[in-house]
Amino acid sequence: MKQAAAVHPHDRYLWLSGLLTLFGLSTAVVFTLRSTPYLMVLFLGLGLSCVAAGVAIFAVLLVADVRARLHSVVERRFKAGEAVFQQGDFPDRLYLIGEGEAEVTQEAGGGPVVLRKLGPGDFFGEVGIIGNTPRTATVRAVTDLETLAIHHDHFTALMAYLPSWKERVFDDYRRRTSGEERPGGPPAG
Amino acid sequence: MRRIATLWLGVGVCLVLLPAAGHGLAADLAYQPPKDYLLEWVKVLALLMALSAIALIAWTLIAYRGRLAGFRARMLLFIGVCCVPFPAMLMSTAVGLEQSKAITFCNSCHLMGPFVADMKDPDSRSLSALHFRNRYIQSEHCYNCHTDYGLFGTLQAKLGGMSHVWSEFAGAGSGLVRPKTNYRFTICLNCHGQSSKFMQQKDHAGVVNKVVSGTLTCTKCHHRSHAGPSEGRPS
Repeated sequence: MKQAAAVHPHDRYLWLSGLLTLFGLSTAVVFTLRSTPYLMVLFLGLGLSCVAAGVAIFAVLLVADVRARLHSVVERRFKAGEAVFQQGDFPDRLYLIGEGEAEVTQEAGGGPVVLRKLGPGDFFGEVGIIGNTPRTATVRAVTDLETLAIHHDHFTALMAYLPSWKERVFDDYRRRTSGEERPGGPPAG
Repeated sequence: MRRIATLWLGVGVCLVLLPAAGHGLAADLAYQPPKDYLLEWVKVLALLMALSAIALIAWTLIAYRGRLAGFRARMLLFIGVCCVPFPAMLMSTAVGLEQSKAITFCNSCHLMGPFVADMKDPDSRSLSALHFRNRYIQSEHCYNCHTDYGLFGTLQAKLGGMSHVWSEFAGAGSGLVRPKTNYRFTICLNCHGQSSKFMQQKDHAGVVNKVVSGTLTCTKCHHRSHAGPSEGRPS
């Protein structure tokens, strides 16, 4: 079954920003064509505020995006029991484990099913990034976890420079998505 | 073939010249002062920019639905949301505020109808009608008499007007427009104060100081500015 494409969490806010600006610009067109007191109140009171709000939302998202891109490789620590990401989340980063252990679980009919355990040197989170799908499983720290989190834009750039690693990642991706890891089950990671 | 070409040429020349002739005729009948072409150009530019931004945003929202966070969609939205609207809104504000000086703007509010009707009434003896009839004020009659000079005067007039509109819109209006403060008759002096006709009038001796200090109003001696409530019109 084909998985739906992952939708970035910024998407709905960008949509809102666009809609607000559209409304503000529409009031500007109407007010430019015909000036009446009511249209003036509509334009100056509502139209300008909508455009300002649209620009503000866009600017905040832009700053957040630039910050994420600037911090493309960051060290992230998780306490034992803390979730690294949840099933269904947007795939923003790939994680490399430096120290500690994590377990991959997936929601099934009767509750979460543990797919596998990960240790130092293992990586996870590539399924969503390569396939552009929402996270297919939840990853939780079993012990205190130390990871290197790579932003998904930077990850694709890194692949070009590290062919051997690219091969390993894609082998792993194929293995997980083909269901070898859990016969009959959906892909994990 | 040649005849047909000549015929078409004749039709073309007529099509070009007829409107010009018509314009000349109309110009003889009622002279219209020349248009403010700068305002017209800014208006066209503001409309073009706003409409192109609307088209760009709408297309991006539809074409990149679910992928708006991608680089290309973000760039398109950046142009549509951040770059183009700023000058478009600025020009629209300038054009709109400039257009709001016209009598048609004030008259578009039903409460102002009786005032404008009185001003245009050839038999009215009110000061506004006198000024309108004799073209003492060339254009923007309401604006000229109800606005103090300078940026803050304009701003005050706009804010005052907006509050009237808002109270009507919110249902708090009484259906009658009353000035928030007493009319500042120094506005009259902006034109009259320095005119020789005004200065030569013996009755006007010492009047300026009294008007400036607020102890005397022009309507104390002259006919009232607008038709009164006794004539079925609000004052």
